[in-house]
Amino acid sequence: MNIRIVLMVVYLLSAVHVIAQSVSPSVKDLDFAMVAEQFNTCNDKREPMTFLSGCSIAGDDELLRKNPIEIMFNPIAKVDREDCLLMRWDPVLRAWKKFPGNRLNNTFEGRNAYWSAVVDASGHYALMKEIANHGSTQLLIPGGYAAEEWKYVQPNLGIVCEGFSTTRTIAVPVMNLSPLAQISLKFRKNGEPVSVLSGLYVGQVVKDVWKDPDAINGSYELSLTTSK
Amino acid sequence: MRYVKSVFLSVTFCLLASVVFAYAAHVDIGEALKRKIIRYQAVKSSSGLDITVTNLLHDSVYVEIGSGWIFPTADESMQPQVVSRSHMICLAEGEERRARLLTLCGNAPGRTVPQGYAEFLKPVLGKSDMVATLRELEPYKMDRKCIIQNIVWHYTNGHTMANFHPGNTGIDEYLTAMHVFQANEPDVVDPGYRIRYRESLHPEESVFTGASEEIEGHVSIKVNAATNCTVALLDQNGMLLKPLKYVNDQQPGEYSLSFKSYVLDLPKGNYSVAVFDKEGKTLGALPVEI
Repeated sequence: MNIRIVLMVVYLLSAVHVIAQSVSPSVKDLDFAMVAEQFNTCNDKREPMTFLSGCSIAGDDELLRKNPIEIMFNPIAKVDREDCLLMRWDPVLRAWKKFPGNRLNNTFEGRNAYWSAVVDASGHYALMKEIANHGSTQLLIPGGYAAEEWKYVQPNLGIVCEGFSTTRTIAVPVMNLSPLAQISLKFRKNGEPVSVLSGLYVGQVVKDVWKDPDAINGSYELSLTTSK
Repeated sequence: MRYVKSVFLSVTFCLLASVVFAYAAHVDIGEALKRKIIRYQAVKSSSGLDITVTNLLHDSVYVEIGSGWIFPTADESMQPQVVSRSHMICLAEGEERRARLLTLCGNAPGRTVPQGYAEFLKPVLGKSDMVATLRELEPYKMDRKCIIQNIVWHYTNGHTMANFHPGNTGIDEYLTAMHVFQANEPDVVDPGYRIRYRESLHPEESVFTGASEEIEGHVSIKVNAATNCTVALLDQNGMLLKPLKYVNDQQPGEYSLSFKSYVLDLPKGNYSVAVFDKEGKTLGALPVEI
């Protein structure tokens, strides 16, 4: 009898705890590695931007509307505040979008200056800098293959681009492909299963991608090349 | 010689008489009532009390009603009226005069005194600290500002400095009022935050709703290594209720971070505002009572 009461109390307490956890908003860091893995750095026009920093806010939107959170950034050296925007991730478009009040203000805490904006909805937020010169570079995979999904990650510039293709051509929306950039691909040869490669560099030769069913002892080489 | 002596005595008598006369002619309201020099009636008006004073002396009289005098109400549940600005009423022999006294509420949870209410008891002088503070604040003419009412409630209802919200007070006036208050009350501790209470539906009345609407303040932190910080409101058990602010890439050093939070949706009680680093370590905390 007593054990039942104790178990019920424990259950109730844990339920209250879970409810409190689920309702109370929380803020978590969002760094470039997470963005490279789960998101991209493109706006809703599919133009890449430079990711500077970010955070993720989870919780009840009604509560957040009543209790907006001020997001503050330490000013970044050699970056003009006017060139930066706080943007919200749109999971449907898979792009970062502007939202009302996303312009950064100059605020002071004592004598320390910060860039700040106020957010009142849950989601992923990133401080982005627009890139002045947009361009496009073709990335070719070997003939006979089709790239289905691709992701281009350039950590030195904070750029992550992604897309889909039905051909061997991948149009990366950057002026120049960096030798530091990493590429991940889902690709296939006609009639063959999808293969996944990650951590590739432009120009890298990849051997032994998979065994060709018709040439049991043979292997394919995959090299990524660029053409403007 | 005899002539000189009589002149000397006459002059001395005149001087003495003038001193006695001056003493009799210039009195505060408490002394005037005690000595039955005047008769008065106070009636609540929109911004204070309309007081009608009648001179009962066979001479002119100056009656001073200084700031800090309290007009209690016959019904104890109603708000006594605290004079916030000194007033001098000059009355000729037998003259009756009416004056408007600026007053503030002298009991926060008391019921509002309706206009026309006239059942005020004999005025009493408030605590000497309150009188001194109000007198020093008088030259700044802030009678109608929230901060002066908050200061009065500190003395009459034991409100802490957390209740000293600027409200409609401009920042310069607020700082002046705080400066004067703290000079008179050096032992009162500033808790580091302020509570804004929900305003009354009748802003012209000094009504204390008691409903905490917003808190704002500063929490001090010490950062040893660059980190991302979250400023959050926690309940009594340390459970996170509301994140208030997120600071990206806070550099090492000592900081005072400001916070502001809507709290009308929270029950009254003890809470805290804490700052955590990205590993969840507490960098600083401030207890708050809502």
